[in-house]
Amino acid sequence: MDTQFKKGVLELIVLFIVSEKDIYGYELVLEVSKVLEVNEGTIYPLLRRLTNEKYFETYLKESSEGPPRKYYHITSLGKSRKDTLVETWRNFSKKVNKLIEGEKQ
Amino acid sequence: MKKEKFLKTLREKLNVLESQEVEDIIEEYKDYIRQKQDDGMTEEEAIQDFGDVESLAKEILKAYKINENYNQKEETELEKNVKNISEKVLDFFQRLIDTIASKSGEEIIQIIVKFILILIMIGLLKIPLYMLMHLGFTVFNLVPDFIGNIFSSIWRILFEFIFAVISIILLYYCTKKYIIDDNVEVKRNTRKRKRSNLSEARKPSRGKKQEINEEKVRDSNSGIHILSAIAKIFVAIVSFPFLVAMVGLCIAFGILIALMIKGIFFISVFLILFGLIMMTSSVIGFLFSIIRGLK
Repeated sequence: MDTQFKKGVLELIVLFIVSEKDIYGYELVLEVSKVLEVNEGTIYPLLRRLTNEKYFETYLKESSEGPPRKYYHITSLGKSRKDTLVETWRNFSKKVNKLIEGEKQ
Repeated sequence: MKKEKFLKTLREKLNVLESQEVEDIIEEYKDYIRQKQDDGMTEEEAIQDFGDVESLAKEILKAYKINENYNQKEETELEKNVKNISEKVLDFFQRLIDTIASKSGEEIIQIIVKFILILIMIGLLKIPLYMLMHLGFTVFNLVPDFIGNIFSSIWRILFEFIFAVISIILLYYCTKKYIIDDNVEVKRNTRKRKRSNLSEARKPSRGKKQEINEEKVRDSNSGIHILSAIAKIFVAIVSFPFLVAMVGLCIAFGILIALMIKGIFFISVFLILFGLIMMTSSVIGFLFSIIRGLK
């Protein structure tokens, strides 16, 4: 799949996944990979960026498998950002689909 | 890559950030590696998934709105300027040598003439500067001895300095404009070509233009290059006094002939002059053939 598309939509996907439930780093990577094939080297920094921009909060939670893990939790700012991106995506894909579907006629 | 090396490199590339921040990030990545190992990956695999450390660091830095090129060797303005200037200077001399090394004897003479003209022009510039300087001196002489002397020296140093700077700048630009031939493209090559170059240079000259073009295209070794350029300049400069002598001799010869027409003979002088002219022309011819041979 094209890198250009991926870059644009990755933020949307990450925000969406975290909005569904609090999640830790590697688990998020696994979830994202179910949707898209992405380089981890992009996801982790993105997480950090979104946290810096106050879309996420982090906290440590005890884990049964070893030391405590850092979990990401979406803030209200993050939620509105997610909503904006979802809306943008819907409009965007609608228009593009319309163009492509129009070709079939 | 091993975990320690990966983390160490990452830490280095992130050092522009606050140390607490860096430690947080490193801890985070240690975590990620651990999480992946829990999932069954080896250390190697976990690290491989991160991709290239350099790109990773860049991506991370983006989150801090930092210029991601910050981490690369930051040069101060001064360092940048010094680098620029030294590059320009080297390039200048390189092109000068290229130009000279590719020219035939006659063109070399032209170059030397141009150069002398440039020097004369710069010398002429000194005249108004000198007048100003001496004007200053007369002013300072009105002032009691000791102080006047100090001022005079400072004044003089200032002018000399200004003149030196101006002449260097002018020399640079004039040489660049009139002497350096930017069409000369010489390819640098390995030493293997050295021998073939020298033997080819000894070939008898066909059409001059043809030869020059061939040599411009031919690869040459830069060491030989510089040497031949220097040698050519040297020989051309050495031939200069002979040329001047030649001119003088011809004038004298001309005068003698004029006298002869008038009926006055100076046989001995005539013979001496004649001999000198022959000698000088053969020396000049010899020097020119050296220049040609050095190509």
